[in-house]
Amino acid sequence: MADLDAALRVTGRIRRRFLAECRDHLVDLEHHADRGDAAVAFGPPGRVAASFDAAVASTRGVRATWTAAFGAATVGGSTLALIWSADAAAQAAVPWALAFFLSAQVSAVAIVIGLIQAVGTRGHEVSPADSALLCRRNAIALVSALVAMFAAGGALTGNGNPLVLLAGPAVAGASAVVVGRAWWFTRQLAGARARIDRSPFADLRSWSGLHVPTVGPLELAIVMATGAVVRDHGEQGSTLAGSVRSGAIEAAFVLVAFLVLRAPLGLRTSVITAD
Amino acid sequence: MGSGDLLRGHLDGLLLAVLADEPGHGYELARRVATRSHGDLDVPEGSLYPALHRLEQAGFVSSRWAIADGRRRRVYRRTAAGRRRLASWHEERRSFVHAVDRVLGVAT
Repeated sequence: MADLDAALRVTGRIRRRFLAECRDHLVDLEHHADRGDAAVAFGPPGRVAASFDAAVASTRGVRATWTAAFGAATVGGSTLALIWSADAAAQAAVPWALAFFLSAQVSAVAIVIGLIQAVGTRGHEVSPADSALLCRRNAIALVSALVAMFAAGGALTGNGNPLVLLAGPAVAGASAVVVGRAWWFTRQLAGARARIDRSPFADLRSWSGLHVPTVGPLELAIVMATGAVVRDHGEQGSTLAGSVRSGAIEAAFVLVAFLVLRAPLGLRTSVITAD
Repeated sequence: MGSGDLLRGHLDGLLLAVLADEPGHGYELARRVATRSHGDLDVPEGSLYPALHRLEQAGFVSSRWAIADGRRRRVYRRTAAGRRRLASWHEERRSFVHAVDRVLGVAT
């Protein structure tokens, strides 16, 4: 028990309950075998403690993902409220507009792949490295959502309901505490700092049973660029040349964002295409 | 037989299976696994608790403190979601075993 207590990282009520259950179990083992056999039958205390810590890290990471998704969505709502309350004649400066669109898309991608990972790992044995990756995806989603809101505020002038505008950042702040707590605990565990990659397409296939094709960054850039062209030309009535320029900017954004964020998001191409 | 690595992917399913009959605490569940496997599955018994934590957090089992064998123990029971999870685990395991048999050239 002393070795188990020393090896265990988790604290609080969960720790007390786990140690109480293990103590009861060892007492039962000793009643039915001699002391040496009880320790052998129970298993190496370091390994048992590491396994329990990994399980706690995994469940905290999944819980943090739901919280981060709610936080990012609330920030999105506040951002929309900010945009709708902008002065009709307001003209967004290009750098702010670009920052808004880029960070909003990064946030959406990060939260979607985080949710896909969380659903797939629910109830399964997950390594500390996987849990750390989930925490990184959650953190990127929240930070990007807040950057998008900040950029929207910088781009536009107007008067909005302060409660509605502040709701998003407030909820995101609370979500960040949950994500930060999960991440802080996970980082203490052996193997948590290993940088791994995890294909969201493989995750989606594993729990949905659907035949989801793997899409690389180039294909995604083409799809996003096409969407930008159609949106610009069809909805906003831009000229074809202007729409194509928007599409090219969108494609460039996708590729640059992928190059910069593929490591922290666990999306390095060489691993994904091997899937 | 029953090395730790081979068992690792199956422990959750084994626990859900032995909880089908009636609730039990960790030591009882370990005994049920050993009894049903006729001692062939050598599970390090401490590894049950991380698995039970995972299953509980996922909603597949629930637990409460109760008096068992004259002592206060944490007793686990399977939920309806756990029953469905066991059924899907059976299906996954069957598909996996058939696929391995085909590769090995074993008649199925």
